[in-house]
Amino acid sequence: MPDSNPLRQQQKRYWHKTLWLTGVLLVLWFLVTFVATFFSEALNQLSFLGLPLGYVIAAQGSLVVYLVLIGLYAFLMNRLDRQFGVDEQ
Amino acid sequence: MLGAYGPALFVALFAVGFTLTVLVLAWLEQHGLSQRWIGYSFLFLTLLVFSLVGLFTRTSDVAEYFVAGRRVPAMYSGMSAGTDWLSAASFIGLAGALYQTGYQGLAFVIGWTGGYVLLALLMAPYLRKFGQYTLPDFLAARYGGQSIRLLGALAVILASLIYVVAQVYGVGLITSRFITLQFEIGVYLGLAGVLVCSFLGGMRALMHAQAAQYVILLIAYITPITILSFDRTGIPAPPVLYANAMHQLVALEHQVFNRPEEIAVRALYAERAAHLDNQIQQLPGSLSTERTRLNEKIEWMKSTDASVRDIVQVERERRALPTTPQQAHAQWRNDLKDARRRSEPPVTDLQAFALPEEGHSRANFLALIFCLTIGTASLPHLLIRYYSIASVSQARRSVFWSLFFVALVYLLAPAYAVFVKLEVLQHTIGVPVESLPAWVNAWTKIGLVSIDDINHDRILQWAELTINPDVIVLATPEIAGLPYVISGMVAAGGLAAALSTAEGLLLSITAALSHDIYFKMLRPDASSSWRLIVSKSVMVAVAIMAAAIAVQRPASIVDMVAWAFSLAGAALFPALVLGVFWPRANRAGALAGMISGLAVTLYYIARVKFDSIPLLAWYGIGMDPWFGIDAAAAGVFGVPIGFAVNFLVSLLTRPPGPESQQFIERLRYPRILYNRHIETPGALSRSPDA
Repeated sequence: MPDSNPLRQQQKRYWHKTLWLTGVLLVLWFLVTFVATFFSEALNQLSFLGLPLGYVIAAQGSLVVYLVLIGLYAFLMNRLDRQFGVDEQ
Repeated sequence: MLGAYGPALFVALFAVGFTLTVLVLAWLEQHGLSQRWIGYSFLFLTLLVFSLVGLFTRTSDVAEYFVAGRRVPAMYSGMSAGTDWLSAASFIGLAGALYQTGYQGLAFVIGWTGGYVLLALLMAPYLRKFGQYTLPDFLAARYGGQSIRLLGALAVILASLIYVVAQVYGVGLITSRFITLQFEIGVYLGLAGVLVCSFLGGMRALMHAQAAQYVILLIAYITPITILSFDRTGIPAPPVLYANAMHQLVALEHQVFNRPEEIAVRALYAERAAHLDNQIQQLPGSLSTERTRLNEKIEWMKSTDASVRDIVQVERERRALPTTPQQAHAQWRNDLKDARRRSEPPVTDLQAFALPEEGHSRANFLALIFCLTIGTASLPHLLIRYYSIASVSQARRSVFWSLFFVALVYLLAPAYAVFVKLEVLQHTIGVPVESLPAWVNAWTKIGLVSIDDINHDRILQWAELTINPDVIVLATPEIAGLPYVISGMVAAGGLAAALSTAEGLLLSITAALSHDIYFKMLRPDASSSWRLIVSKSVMVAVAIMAAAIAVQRPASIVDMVAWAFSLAGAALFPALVLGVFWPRANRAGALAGMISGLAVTLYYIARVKFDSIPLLAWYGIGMDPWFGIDAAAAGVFGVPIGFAVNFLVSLLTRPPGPESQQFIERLRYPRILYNRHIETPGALSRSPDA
């Protein structure tokens, strides 16, 4: 039966891990993009490098977080590819 | 082209060359080179780069033309995609939006960068694995059938065309200010430069041209603000250290906005708004009353000893009067909006969610972010870049590099807004109209700055000054009193940004028309050389059409760009994402979702933004926005509806066949280990490396 094929099982596990990683990163993305900005007025009461925190998050912080998220995704996925032997070589 | 280190070497050489050119021009300026010739030099330099790159990379191979042979390394393609991304709206418009609306404008920063996360996680690797030429290719392969290919192509064309018009408009803006060319001539000249490059080399030329343009636009964006910041604060690192300037600005804003004369001027605008409101209510009668009033006034003035100047003034007023009640309605509605805006106390820079006229500003802010992120992850000119990358793992890295290069520019935008606003408050507000700085006059001449001395005190108040936000970056060198060569350099940067994006968009429109509609649907037997001929002619036609629309000046750059994002997001995003992640999505669902998403978005933009569309003879179609959401964020209704309809219709109709399942299976793994259907020739087997 196809479903008991070990290679197929391996692919399935790879895909589950991919989905899991994608999901976690999307949740972080959502927190920075929508939740932090939603509470921006409250965050503005705190300050960071002399500027209100809500402003700093929107103007610069979110960009840095996005870069980290994308970098992390590329690094972890490329490693996952190699672990599961699905990388292109 | 240049071996393994070719791309890096090319970029480095180009950066040195560009810097040297700027220095030479600066030296020439010292020795009496006129401003006009500095402007010309920069324009022709920019166009020359395009043409040379186009010439050296000319190709007649289809895969080279559309996807650069699929062997571009991650960092280089990231740089090029970043330039593709950085449009006139980013380079010129973003700082302007921040200047005008303070915190509210940050929605653009968050939206345009946050979208890259969606792009990286949900789109880029899968599109690369699919590895064809266009987005409609993907839709057709996943869902099957020509109808979805046609619909996808139409959506691509619509969104890209609106976007490209905004870029071309930016080109016209720059050329009309800096080389005093007529707006229309500037538009056509700029497009000619784009065409030479894309026409000859397609995606391959685009890669190199855009890397070169990135160098121009980054240097052009960093230099003026760094000098300005160093000059005013002694710190040459604007993106990090503008906290002091910001505090100074906020203190000044509080002081200026509460001056008694500012308050008096705002009261005058409130009166004007009330008057206009009344006029609109009493249409059509009020229009003829107004005309009679002016007629009588002129008669009366002529009978008394009124000066000729005053009479001419009133006659001009009479001539400016709208001719029909419909026109009066549209014009007065705009005037009313303007007067209301000026009558409100201005927003200070750090205030979050405080745009007074809307009252729904938090909702609007989040809605705009939503549309821009979704749009970023579905705009075809960016997505097709990921077809051209060497491998799936390189595609993942490439998104990182794109965002990295984009972020370098975006991090500086708030500093522009802060420093320019500070300069404006310090050196123009409260100053007699006769002795305003020279830049005010220069930009007033082309209609982008206007002064309306409503209280006739011959002194400028904040509420009397209107600065078109598109001016901020371009005028910064003049505002800071820098040599003209810096202005020329900024103009060249703006041109590079607008032209590179225009190129990418033209290429994606061309691909949709010539590859999807012509080759895949009408003439599948066309030879590849004939296909390229068709592509190139289509590109010229589309470019001319875009220029023709742009010279009508349909709306502001940022508005048009936001619509393009909403439309692309609503039409393409649900079908693409569900196509990869939800095997149950089928053709009927995708078609219904795309149509409904697109329809809702178009409907909302048309009815909220325009009161009348004379072209279609639609009048009085304006409506009040739903939940106070701006037309720019129309996608906030279109995207969820697109998803919901796609979902429901898919579940109500038959599941997709085994080809679709097999197709998804292949997308998921960079290399297939096991596939039940491996022996069946699928859509993917045609790609060169699958």
